[in-house]
Amino acid sequence: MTTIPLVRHYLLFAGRSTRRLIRSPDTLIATVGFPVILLLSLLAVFSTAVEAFGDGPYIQRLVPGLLVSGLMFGSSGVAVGLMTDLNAGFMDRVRSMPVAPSSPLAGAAMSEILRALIGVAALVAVGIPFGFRFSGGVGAAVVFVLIAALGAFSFSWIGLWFATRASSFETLGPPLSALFLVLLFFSQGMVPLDGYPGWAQPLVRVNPASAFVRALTDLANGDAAGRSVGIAILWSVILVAVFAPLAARSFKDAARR
Amino acid sequence: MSGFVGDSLVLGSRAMTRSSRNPGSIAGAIVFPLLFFGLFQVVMGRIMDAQGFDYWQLLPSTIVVQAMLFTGMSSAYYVADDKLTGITGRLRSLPINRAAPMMGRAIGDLARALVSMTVVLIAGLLGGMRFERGIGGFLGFVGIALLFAIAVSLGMGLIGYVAKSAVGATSIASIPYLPLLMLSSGFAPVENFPGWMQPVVSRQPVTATIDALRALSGEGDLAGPVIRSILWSVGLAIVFGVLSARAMGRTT
Repeated sequence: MTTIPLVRHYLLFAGRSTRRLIRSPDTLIATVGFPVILLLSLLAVFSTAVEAFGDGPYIQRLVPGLLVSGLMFGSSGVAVGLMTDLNAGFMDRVRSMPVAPSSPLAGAAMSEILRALIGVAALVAVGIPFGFRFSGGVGAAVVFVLIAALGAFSFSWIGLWFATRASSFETLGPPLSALFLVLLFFSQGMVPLDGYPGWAQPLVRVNPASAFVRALTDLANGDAAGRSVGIAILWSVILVAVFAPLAARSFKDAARR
Repeated sequence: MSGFVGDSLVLGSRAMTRSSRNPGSIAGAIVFPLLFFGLFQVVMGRIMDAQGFDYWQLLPSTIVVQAMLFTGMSSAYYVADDKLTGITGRLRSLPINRAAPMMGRAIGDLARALVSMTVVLIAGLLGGMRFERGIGGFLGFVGIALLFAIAVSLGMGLIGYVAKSAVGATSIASIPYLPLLMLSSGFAPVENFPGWMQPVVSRQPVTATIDALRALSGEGDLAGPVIRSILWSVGLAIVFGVLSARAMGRTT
């Protein structure tokens, strides 16, 4: 298989996943509605306490935090989509066609990027009237969007791997949600690092979700972001390098079931 | 009333068996309440303590109410599942008491609510929560929480009658859940909210119930919060109960 058809196959499946995304109101509600409601709720509940604790404007932390939350939970959506395809026998059909076997997975991960961009647009649009600002100029804002897209692509492989391993929707959703909830709460997307108890701080530091929140926060605040962006990119490479092969391997078995 | 008790018990035991075998219900009743408890305690505990808001004492009441909301979301799932698989229609054609299906569902919901509450309170007591008013306060706490669970389950169950799939029912049920829980006195004192929001936050039913549970487990004014919570729960239960009976009557 040469490279050109491979890319074409990936784009074909990415197009299919994208159409499914756009035509499914549930997914759009989950992408736009849920993070926006959560943003406004957390802002109302915790901004007084967190700002009193000595942090800057809470909105500058919450928008990146909920963006990362959105791209992790988007990964659950991708997982449900893949599981639906596996149960419906769609993957058996794909296996009988002359396309690269990796196309359905790669296409799903690529379509996650578009979903993440919709999420960025929604959260930033709602955040601005509440004081969210890009203080780092246009360049930093562009990198901000790129890092969010990269994060969406990388985290989606965790969901895809789960979907190829789970036996039913009931054993797919709750474990993924539990994992992402823990990553979210320990990500500095809700409170600053010194708000955590001492024993939790090392966990918060090494959490990949923290890496993305830190990079996005630095970019939005206009702080020196070279290091934090580098670490986020490194995490993307690690997530894809670990979970893409795992997902690809169990996908072969799952499609054969 | 012929067969009401017997039929209800049969359908109630069916509901309990079904919950105990459904990973989603077990997650909703046990795993997620504990997870949220732990996460909020760890992440927000220090910051809220700095505000003079004692999280170990106050948060368990919030998580118990959250668990009751999860109970209601499961109820929406089961109502939709029964309707879509034809069980509801089948039960209507059987020679059983007409009210028994509703009672059976209530028994299943209350069983899940009790399991959740037990788990959360054990975790809270281990962390340092105290029932300052002794056994009377404790029984009142359980009663207020279960009354609230009945109102919520009847309300969320209504979603089950209109949803097109059981999973869809759960996602619709999560839409009222989030703002009701977050915009309450549960996670931060009402004075911390923006001024224009405070009248709503302090008057909504979730705040009333959380305040009542805190009054029953802690100190301070008791009658006001408890009466407000009872009025809300009973009122909502009557409204949602009448609507549920109607929705059930239309299901074939």
